[in-house]
Amino acid sequence: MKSDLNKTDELTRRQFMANAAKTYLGVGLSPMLGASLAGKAMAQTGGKSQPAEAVIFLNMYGGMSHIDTFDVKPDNKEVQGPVNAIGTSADGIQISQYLPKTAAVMDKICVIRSMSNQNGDHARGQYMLHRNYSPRATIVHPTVGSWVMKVKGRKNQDIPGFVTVGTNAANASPGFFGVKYGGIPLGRPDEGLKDSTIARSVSNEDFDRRLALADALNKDFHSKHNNTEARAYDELYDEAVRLMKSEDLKAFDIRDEPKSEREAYGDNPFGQGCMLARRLVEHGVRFVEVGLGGWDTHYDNFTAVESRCSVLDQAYANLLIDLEAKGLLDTTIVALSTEFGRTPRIKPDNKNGRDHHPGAYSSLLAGGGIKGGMVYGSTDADGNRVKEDKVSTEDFNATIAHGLGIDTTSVLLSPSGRPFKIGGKDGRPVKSLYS
Amino acid sequence: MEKDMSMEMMSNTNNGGALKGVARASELSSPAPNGHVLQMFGQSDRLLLDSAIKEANTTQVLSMMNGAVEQLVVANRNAHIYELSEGSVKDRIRALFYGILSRAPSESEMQLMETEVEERESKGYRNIVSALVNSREFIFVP
Repeated sequence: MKSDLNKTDELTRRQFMANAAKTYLGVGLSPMLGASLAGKAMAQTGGKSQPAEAVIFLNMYGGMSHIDTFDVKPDNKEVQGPVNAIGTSADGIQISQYLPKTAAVMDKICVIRSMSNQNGDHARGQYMLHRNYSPRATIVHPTVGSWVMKVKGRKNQDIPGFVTVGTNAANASPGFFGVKYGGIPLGRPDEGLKDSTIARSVSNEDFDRRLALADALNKDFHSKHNNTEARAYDELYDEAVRLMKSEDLKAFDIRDEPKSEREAYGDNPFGQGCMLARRLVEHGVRFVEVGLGGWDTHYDNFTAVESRCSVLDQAYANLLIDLEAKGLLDTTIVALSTEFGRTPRIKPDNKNGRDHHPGAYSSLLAGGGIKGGMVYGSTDADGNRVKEDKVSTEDFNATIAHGLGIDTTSVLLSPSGRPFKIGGKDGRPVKSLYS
Repeated sequence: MEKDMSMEMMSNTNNGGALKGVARASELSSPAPNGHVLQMFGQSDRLLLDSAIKEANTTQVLSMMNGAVEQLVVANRNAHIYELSEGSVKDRIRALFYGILSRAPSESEMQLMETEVEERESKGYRNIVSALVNSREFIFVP
């Protein structure tokens, strides 16, 4: 009898909190749900000893050609063009000659050759890649990074949990979750976290006085205008001030790294971005995205892909080696994807270009318990259609979420009361990719 | 805080004082380079249509508190907001409120600001400007 009474109490308090959160902050169910989500999913990951802690997401934007990179067709010269296939450190897996360093670490990588979606243009493709839903005029969906923030929260409380480097700032968007769950978008990896120290023209005392003055002004304002978006800025300012005082700010400063490391990654924004990603994960950041563009090779495909690959190859292979050396690879999922692939048909009129091809393309997963040295799914002889084991963009993201111990079927409500899942409308994780 | 390198990169025009090294809008490249304050506050990267962002993030808040706003407005003796602000303490505070929030300060606000000026003098006015510019009311558009 006593326990029944307690149960009723709990429900009432939880409902009260949920309602208060909705009206006061304009967000859906409170983080309490997040804890139970993670708890349920722990059971679902089954054989995996423990879920991964972090994700490094490498966004190849523009549409990375699959046939010229990870889904080579050596027996089909018409479709393959001048690119040769090379062997890798994984038995029976061949990839493009443009990626020799990656080939040497293929035993850590799972190649998914059966990716497929229906997004023909970059905007839709990138939106889906990042948010697991198609764009709608009526709502802004949260990015996967901010889902992870919402459900799993931060690992290290003194540093932001979600950072993007060298990619469109929209990819750090929290959508309807509100600004608290957004990522920090860095334009470049080499400037650290800009403006994260008090300006030289301001003393510590004056800085504190300014905060106090603003607080007083804000209190008045909030009592007159109960606006959820304006109120959300309170959290953002609190967050920013906390960040300024954090010891872990130095994680953002890549100048601390020895020259040998910086050279190993490659002296370019993507390489240095990957190095920064490793640093951030070392300091407990949950989700880091690094972007590499220039893949939209409608024109002169092979020259462009070769140059992109040389940047990608060095940074990606070194990232995996580096994470492993620092004991982080088992707890960090390294995902590489793109919005779509490129046509098997080469266009001689466009100096051997390839156009968009969402029907079939490739993505990679490594680390975080992913089985290395394997291929999942396949395309037909032309690289035109998926032959076996189709994986949608939603499935890909759901697989990442699953690896973090998140239940991809649990529903969260937007402030407008609409249901959404981290797995997207019907994304299903490919659990067999995890050991 | 180091001088904002991206702004310096933009122009060599020798405007005096705090505006040294800052370019006119017409002289900027479009889109602005990675890490530029315009990009930070949502400028589209012009690779895709409609990719300007309208959402807030921590990078912007840090910039408002410690970055370009501090350098060019709050700490800048020649900033226009200070030129408007003259006369008695009350007059000056009123001018700052009108200039930033388009309204007069309430009784309690005036008292609070007067105390600030009393205790910090010229630094007090800077603190007021910074607080006003970083207030929720400043960003609120009804």
